[in-house]
Amino acid sequence: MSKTIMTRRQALATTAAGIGLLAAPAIAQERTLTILSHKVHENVARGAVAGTTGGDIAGEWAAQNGVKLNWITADIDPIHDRLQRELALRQSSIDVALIINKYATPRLSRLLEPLDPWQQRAGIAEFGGIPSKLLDAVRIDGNLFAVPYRHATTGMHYNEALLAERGLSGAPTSIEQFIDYARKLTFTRSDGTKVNGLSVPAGAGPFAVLSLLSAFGAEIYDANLNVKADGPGMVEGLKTMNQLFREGVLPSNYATLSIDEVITSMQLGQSAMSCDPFARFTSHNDPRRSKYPGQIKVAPIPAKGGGFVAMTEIWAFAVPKNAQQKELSWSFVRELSSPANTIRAALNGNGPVRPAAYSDSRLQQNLPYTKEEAIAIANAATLPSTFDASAQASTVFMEESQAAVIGLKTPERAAADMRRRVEALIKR
Amino acid sequence: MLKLLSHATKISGMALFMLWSVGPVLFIVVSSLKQPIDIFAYPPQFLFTPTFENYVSLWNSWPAFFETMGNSLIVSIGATALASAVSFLAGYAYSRFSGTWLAASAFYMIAIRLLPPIVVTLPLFPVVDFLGMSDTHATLIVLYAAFWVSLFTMIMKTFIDEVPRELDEAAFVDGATRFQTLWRVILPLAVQGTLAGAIFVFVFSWNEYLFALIFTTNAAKTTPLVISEVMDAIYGTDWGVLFAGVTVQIAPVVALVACAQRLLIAGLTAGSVKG
Amino acid sequence: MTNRFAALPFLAPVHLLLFGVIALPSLYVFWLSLNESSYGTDLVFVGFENYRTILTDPYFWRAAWNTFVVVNVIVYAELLLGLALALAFARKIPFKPLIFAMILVPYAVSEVVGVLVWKILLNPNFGLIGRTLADLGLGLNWSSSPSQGLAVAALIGVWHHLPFTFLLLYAGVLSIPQSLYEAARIDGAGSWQMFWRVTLPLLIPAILITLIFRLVFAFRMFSEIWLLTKGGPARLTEVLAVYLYQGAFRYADFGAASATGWMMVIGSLAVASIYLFEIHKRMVKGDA
Repeated sequence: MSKTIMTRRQALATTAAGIGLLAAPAIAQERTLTILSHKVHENVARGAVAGTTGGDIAGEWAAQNGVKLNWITADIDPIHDRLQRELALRQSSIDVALIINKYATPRLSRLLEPLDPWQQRAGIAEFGGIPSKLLDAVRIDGNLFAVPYRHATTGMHYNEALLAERGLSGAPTSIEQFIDYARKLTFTRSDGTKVNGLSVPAGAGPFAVLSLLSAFGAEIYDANLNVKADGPGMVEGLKTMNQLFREGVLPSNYATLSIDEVITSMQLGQSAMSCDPFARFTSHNDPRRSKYPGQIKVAPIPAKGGGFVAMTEIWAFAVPKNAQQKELSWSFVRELSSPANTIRAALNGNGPVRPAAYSDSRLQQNLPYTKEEAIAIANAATLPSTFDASAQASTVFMEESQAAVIGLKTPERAAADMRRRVEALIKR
Repeated sequence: MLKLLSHATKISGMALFMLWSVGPVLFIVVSSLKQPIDIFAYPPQFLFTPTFENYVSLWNSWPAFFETMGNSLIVSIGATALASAVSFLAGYAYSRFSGTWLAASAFYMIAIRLLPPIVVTLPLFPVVDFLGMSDTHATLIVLYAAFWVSLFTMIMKTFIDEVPRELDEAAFVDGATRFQTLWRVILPLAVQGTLAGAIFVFVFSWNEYLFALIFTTNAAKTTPLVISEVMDAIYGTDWGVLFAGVTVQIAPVVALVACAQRLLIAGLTAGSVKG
Repeated sequence: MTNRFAALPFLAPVHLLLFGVIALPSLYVFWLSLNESSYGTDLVFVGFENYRTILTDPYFWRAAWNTFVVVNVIVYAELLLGLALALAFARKIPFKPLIFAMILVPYAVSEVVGVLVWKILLNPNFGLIGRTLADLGLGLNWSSSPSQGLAVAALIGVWHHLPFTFLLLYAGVLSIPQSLYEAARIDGAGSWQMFWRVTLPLLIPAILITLIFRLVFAFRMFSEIWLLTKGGPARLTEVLAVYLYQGAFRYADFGAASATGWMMVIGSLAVASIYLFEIHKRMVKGDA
């Protein structure tokens, strides 16, 4: 009975809206919200991947608010290229963009809407549930210019079947053991396949390599921009990696290894371990593509002297300063950032920015690595991008670390050069 | 004996060359028909039961791939038509007229192409946006055509150079205007040049990425943008799906070249008529 | 005098298109190169400071040298191969349509996909070519050796663009009247003499155009390096387009990027100048 009434009311409302539309088309026109992001964000916000259970979070918000979603997707660099061009216009057609923290420089932040006032006016529920470490990655001089939505945190992936072949079992629990495993897992299998003990996508960016180096205590610079690139941890880490490269533990094409090459070699069992974000677990164990479905596990990377290390990258919602309908943008951001929706997105495959999500029983059931990822994110560091030349600093790190690992420079020399050059960039 | 040996070297050299040329494309097409897990099997499997699984995955997980093909087609055909038309006219002018002024303009026409297109996009983006032309087919058509008319004009010029001027003059005597002469006399004899140039513009427009990324969002989004999303840095590329997409993407181009080659190869006899 | 104006309506569309889409923006890019600017910032005039910065940057010069070497290797290798193929095609050869299609097929693949496929084929672990070579003990080390990295990039460049060169040259060969060959044959010329006396002289315009445009296009090669090595190891395989891309779009420094763009104009002008002036000379005479 009540249902019919509701329907009738809705029908009335629709009619009223319809009349309004005829009377004042400019006001009642269906609104469109344009979102610029990677495909992965659309997938997790809309439950677009088959087999996920979080549902269409963004779609529900859109239906409630009578909004049409216009989702523009592209790969990581193109998104930011396009976004920055849009930000330079008088008016932008982008209402919400997902930015990754490595692009979140002071220069970019000045073109984005400051979000603290919005949070004060109509706050995101339980905002304190998002760790300050993640918020700091999108805050410069106290100004919050984006809301974290997804994290990609690195872990240590290992192939249990190959471990067993070499008489090993279980994830290594110290960095020494990790290196020892990597050496033992470098071998030629009975069918002639060569296996590399350890792979890192060193050609793709600083992120994964830095995770491995940070296990030795390496750091390029800290949150206060004190450069520490020539510290003992960096030198030792580079030395070890150089040895591993010479021994053939790291693949011979180390310097140009792409993300895809590392994933594929893990799937084929030609790399026994890798340092990469936790989310690779799905690709590594995909029965369509992997020779070892269910056997490639992931654990946090053990640090020297105990504990764990990880690097994390953060994707966050930002609203362009020159956006046209910021009320609507904020409403969208607010809705998708709620505690309940964080869990739902996680069920759709998102890396949840609220640690509380990891204790959700549905997530624990669906995602085999929740416990490990929770440890990793608790220990994770970000590479701050709080100065405009931070992208150049990453390039310097790539260049010097590659030179040290493949033996073009001594580790000491590379670390010293790294320090000198990064310092110059920060001062600029 | 020696002759036989040199013959054998020639043939095996040619075979090796062909393998180099076709191999990677063959790898893409063949892999698209394999189970994803078998794509990198070593030693490679040459005999296998083909599967359309990757194509089904492409259809299911990347609906945008097929939706954007219409845009790609409109833009490619539009750009090819525009570039062909204006280049044919200009090629005729450069062939039939001469002088320092004209030569200078030809020099400028080529030299203007020296600046990398990527920096040209810096000022173009705000202008296109200001004109309200973002995300339209017309923008891509004009851009793609503009970046090829220099070469295309020069190709047309060399071809029209081979058409004897006596034919133009005969047409004039018969009372034809310049445009009529162009259409009825010159064009049929220079069709190979148009074809060669048209292939370049079409293939370029069909595969272009940078301009499409900057100047389109949804309404005019082209297929290469979707392909670039399949080559993904977050989940990792699903090779089978990518190769299925690439196979679909190259099919129209291969068909176009197959159609065009009859005319291109038949050209030898046409050339002798001209002389 | 009358000629000039008669030619105008035929030339106007092309020149309008070029002026609006390329020339005008290029002038603005020159203005950008004299300023400091980024996304959403106002221009600050700095004169030739951006040029000074890049010209004193050793990475710019390394990129310039790499570009110069790779461009010359690619373009002349393509010219020789393309010429050989075009001449072979002018004769009777078996399976002509099939071979024709096989030569052109790399051109159908987009640059990005082409490079990506070569990269995985050359992967020493799971790539068909890379692993086979490694098993034969001929393993390449293009990832750690810059010269090998550049060589592989050149190989991919030639693979991808040979169809372009071939098609232009073949079109040129087709336009040579058969009667000239017959005349030469009657004079008792051998095939080698015919090549030198008939084919080559008449093919010069086509060769000039091919060389100019290939030099210009090759000079801004990007995907081959960016997707294969990202300029690594240790930025040793960077080329100018990669240097520019990093500057403009990763570091958002439009001044330096625009200056790099104009330096590339000068660079490509330098490598293509002989041919450009030759074509200009021929056009003034009206016989190109």
